[in-house]
Amino acid sequence: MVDVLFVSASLTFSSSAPAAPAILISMLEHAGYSGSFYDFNSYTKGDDNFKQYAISGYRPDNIIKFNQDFKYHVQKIKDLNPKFVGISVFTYQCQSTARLLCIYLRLLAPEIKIIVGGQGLSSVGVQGEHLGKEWEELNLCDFYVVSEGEYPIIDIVSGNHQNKTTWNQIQDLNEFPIPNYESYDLNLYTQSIPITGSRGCVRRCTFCDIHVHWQKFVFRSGKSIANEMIVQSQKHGIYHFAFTDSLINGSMKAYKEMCNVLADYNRTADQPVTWEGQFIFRPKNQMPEDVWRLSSAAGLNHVSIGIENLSESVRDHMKKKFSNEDIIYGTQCMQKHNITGTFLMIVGYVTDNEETLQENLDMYTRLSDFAPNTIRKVAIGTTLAILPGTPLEIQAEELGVTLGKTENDWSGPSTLETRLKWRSDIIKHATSLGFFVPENEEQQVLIDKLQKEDA
Amino acid sequence: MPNATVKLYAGECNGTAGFKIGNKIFQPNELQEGDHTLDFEYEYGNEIVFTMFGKGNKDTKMKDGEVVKDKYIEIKQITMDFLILKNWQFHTYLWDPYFGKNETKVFKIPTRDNFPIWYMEVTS
Repeated sequence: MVDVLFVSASLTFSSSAPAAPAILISMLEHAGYSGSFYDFNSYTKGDDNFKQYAISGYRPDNIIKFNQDFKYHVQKIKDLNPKFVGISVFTYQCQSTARLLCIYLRLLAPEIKIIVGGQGLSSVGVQGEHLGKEWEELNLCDFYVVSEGEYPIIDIVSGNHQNKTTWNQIQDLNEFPIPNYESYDLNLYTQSIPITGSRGCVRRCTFCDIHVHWQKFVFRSGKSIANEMIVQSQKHGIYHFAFTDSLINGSMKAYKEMCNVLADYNRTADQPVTWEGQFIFRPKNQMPEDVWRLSSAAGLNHVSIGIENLSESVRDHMKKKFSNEDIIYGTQCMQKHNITGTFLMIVGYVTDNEETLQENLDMYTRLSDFAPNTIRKVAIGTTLAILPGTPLEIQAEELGVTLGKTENDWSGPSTLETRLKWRSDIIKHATSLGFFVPENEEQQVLIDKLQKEDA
Repeated sequence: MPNATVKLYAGECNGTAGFKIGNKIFQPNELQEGDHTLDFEYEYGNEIVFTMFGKGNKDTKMKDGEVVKDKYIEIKQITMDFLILKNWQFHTYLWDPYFGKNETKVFKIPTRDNFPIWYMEVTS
């Protein structure tokens, strides 16, 4: 018998181990309960029927096999004899399968109480409408959790939880035990362990809903993060860590403290630790070169950076707070200290126009010496999405923006058609300069082919 | 036993029709013209019988070949465990939700074993 069995709903293509179940299992054990994890997503994500159902929400072609497979997994879940099943809905693409999993559990294992949680229960960004209440009314679940689950999971198993659509942000992340991955089959994932050092963000970017959801930037001490990495690496024999944070250098004090501990450890360790995460570029006076050197010695080997746009005026409007010279400086430091990067971009911001498009193209040319060895990837994504609750949505009228049916389909200073053309121009230009742009169709075809050959 | 909720519209012409859902009976003129929400209990594998009765020959008014007033019942929505069946889903997967004459239609609720496949069919 296990108190809570966490089950990941399909479909997430990530090859990393999910962080949330391990965190919640450790919380349960700390409070005297038991928890375990069944990675339904990993077991089913390669199956065409599951992919089809998760992505479309429509009956898969081979519905009979799909039904048999679902029943097989539900039986496996039953065999683990849980009192509660906690369904982790990681993204909106997990909603259809999560809903169906609730139905199978209700029909085949009515004695099990169902909890649903995860950001995927909100559509269109983290501030979108939450499905928990609707699912409770439809008897799909007994309990739902909005946002952070550390305290609600204890309240649920101890009978003190009231379903509600509001939540209070945790203010002290240092008080939690080290996440427990013992029930994971770590062979299912890329050899890295997720880790969380902070929640929220220090910036207030106009297009982003993170600072609206997590109103305060809270972070752990650098020592506590480093200690977790050392303990987990020794316990599991996995030495690479992937931060789940919106940014790993939000608090420079905690960041440097973590780097100092890890650099000391790596100097003498048989197996040094390495790590990667999302990052912000800072001006030279905030992130001098010795901090880059220290980061590399501490094991930092890859950063994903929300550059968003290579026009300074556009980035200023976004409130990104770094210049083109800061980008060049940061990239030079990355190159010098063997740290690779992914640039995360947004095309078609509300102040983008033909002039800023040219500024973008020129800056790609300027950065081309760093492609593809230092700037490993440029993720262009779709075009600007205006998400619920963001400053852009709130100021839409003032900015001359008319919101559309979907987050990308807004009009005003530019049309979707124009934005898609800019996107195409940038992809072509960046690709011609030697940047790896996954959105480039020709490259994607090649990647798909190579992946098929590997398989 | 799970509960279901039916939202229906009762159309009036010389009063309203009688309507029966399972064992629950509403006599002619008991429902006012307009929207109503009614409950019924069901079990998996049950057949829930919907019957309209009490409509006479003069309970439809025509003008220039068009119906201008009618005694009828139209199912707008059924909310049951796990899903809401809307008017269009009745048209597409079940039966015409418009009861325009004294007639009976049967809502076959699948067994526990068949329910997931049925669910996928009616929500696709």
